[in-house]
Parts: sequence; C-alpha cells; structure tokens
Amino acid sequence: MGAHAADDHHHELPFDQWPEDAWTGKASMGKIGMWVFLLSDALTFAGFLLAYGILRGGSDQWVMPGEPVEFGINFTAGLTFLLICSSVTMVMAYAACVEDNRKSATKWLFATAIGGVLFLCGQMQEYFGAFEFLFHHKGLIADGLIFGNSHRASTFYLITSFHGFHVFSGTVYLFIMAFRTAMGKYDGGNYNHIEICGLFWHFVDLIWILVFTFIYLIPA
Amino acid sequence: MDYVRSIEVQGSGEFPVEMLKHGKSWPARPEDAESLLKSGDESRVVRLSSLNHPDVSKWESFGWSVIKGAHMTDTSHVHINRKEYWVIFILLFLLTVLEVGVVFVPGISKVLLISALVGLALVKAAMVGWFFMHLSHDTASIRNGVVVGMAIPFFYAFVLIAEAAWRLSWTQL
Repeated sequence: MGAHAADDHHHELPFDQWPEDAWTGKASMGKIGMWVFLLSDALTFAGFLLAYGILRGGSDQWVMPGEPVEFGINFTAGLTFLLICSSVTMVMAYAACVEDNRKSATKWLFATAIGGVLFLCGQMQEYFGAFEFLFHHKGLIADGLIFGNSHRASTFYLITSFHGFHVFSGTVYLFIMAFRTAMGKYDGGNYNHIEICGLFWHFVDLIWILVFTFIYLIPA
Repeated sequence: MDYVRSIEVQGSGEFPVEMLKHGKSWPARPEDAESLLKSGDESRVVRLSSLNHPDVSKWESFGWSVIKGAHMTDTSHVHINRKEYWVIFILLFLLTVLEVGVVFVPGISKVLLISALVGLALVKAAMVGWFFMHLSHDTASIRNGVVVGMAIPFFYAFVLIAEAAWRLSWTQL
C-alpha cells in the first residue's frame, strides 16, 4: 500500500467534500489559513507605514539636502500598471482552472509569474539603475537616497523592499504553481490551491496600491 | 514533467483499448496488463497509470466505470465572470491614471490632494479585495473578519493624526 503515494491521497477527503461551515461556508481550510496569514501580513505593513507616517508628520525637514525630491512617479505608475495586469492574468488562470482547462491555466499562470519578474526588474532599475540603458537613470542610490542617511530614505527602502520581497516570494510561488498545473495536479476543476495562490498575489497588488499612494504620490 | 495519476476502472468483457490513448494511460502492474487481454463476463478492476484526468463519460460509453481517481471538484458554487474581471482591470487602470493626474493639478490644496489620493487608493484596494480576491462571494463572517482586520490600522492612524493635531494646538496656546 505505502509504495503507492498517489493512492494515499484518495484517503483524504477532497476540499470540496467537507461539510459546509456555518461561518465560513464553502471556504477551504487552506483558504482560511491564507486569509489569516494575509491579515497578519497586512498588520506588519501597517506597522511600517504608520512608523513612516509618524516620522514624516513629526519631522521639520523631510527631504534632506542632496536627496532626490521625488521618486519618479511615472516609472512607478508603470510598475503599478504591471501589477494590475498580473492580477487580471491571475483571475484568468483561476477561471481556466475552474473550467478544467489545463493549458489555458498554465499559460495565464506563467504570464502572471512573468509580471512578477518584470516588477522585480523594475525595482532593480529604480534602486540601482540595473537597466540604465533602457531608462537612462542611474537609480535612486546613485541620486543620493541612501538607506540610513535619513528617515525618508530608510522608511522608503524598508517598505518598498519588504514589498519587493513579497513579490519575489509570490513569483517563486507562481512558477511552482504554473509547473504543477502543467503537470496536471489541478485537473478536474481542482481550483483550491490556485485560488489560495491568487489570494496571496492579489494581496501583493493590494498592498502596492497603498504603498504607491503613501510613499510615492503624497508630495513632500 | 508530466504528473502521473493512479486511476482504477471497472467493467467486464473487452477492455476499451482506445481509452488508453485518449487518457494517455497504461496498465500500472503486470496483472493489469494481463487483465487488458481478458474478455470474460466477470467484472474486473484494472489499475492504470494516467497522464490525463479520466474522462468519466467516455469510459461509461464503453460500459466501464471509473471507480478511483475520477473525482471532479464541485465547482457549482464558483462564480466566474470574465467580463467583470476585465471591467475591474480597466477601472483600476483608469483610477491609476487619475491618481497620477491629480498630483499634477496646478494649485490644488494639499488637504484636497491628500484626501483624493487616499480615497482613490482605498477604492482601488477595495476593488481588488472585493472582485479579484472574491470577497463578494465569501460569507459575511469572512468578509467582516477581513474588513475589520484591515481597518484597524486606519483607526490607529486616525487616532495618531487627531492626537498630533491636539498636541499642535496645545503648544500654540
């Protein structure tokens, strides 16, 4: 018996066969778990953003001499658009999975993951000017925004890199899910894990919407 | 890189060999291979290794049934509305354009600008949560839990701002 790992799976009750819960309805255990994690994660971000707000509100001089006055709103708006695009490709992957269309779900998941890769490349450009030949900008560090030199620089890098770390994790997560979908693990409309992955990815987009406003758009 | 699933089919008489091609399947054990060649009236179970999710109705059209590995997820309660997804996508795009546009409005007051930006961000975040994260289809308990949890930091920010304003008014007396 034990030699057939695939067989052992059939002894577990599939997620859609659990009795409906009075409070959480059809939501699977994994989905509720992801929501609990996302709430704790949201409060971590909130802690950073509130610290940023307190420092900024209480400072006499926010922009230090030698620092760039703004962070390049148009470029970052492009990154925002990128995350919005990868959110819509994620729901398309979910829809394809529900409809038991393996090829389409795989395609959309890879598209979503590539959105994540492009976002990370954008952040490399923003910090270090990694794609200077394309954007003709040496990056914020070269412009004089150095972590540790001012409250503004430190909170900026802390919050945006913490978000970037989420994009990185999400991209790895998405590539894994895309490969597993291609392998047929989520055939037969088995959407549960795709939905959970989607929750994480949309949350990364949701947080970026707030970071974009509080860090980039509100003028000094 | 294909995932091999284990399925079991039950039937009698001749084995529908074309189903092997259809499901990208092959007999799992030597005794299953032998079982393919049998044709007696006695009902028998054949275990297959398969690359595709088994097509239950096609097996049934040959008088065979899939007794293991054919579980189809119940998606009857899942609402897929692609048009809604694309409309939300376009709205998110337009609101982003609006946000960037508001920053460059000449002579706009700072209070109005910040309120507009925060308001637009909250609307966008709510749209992502409501439509893309499917909070609209979750139970009230999940929805309230998420909304209250996410709202706590905003209450805290409100208290901080009120406190800072109060302190400022005190020092200016």
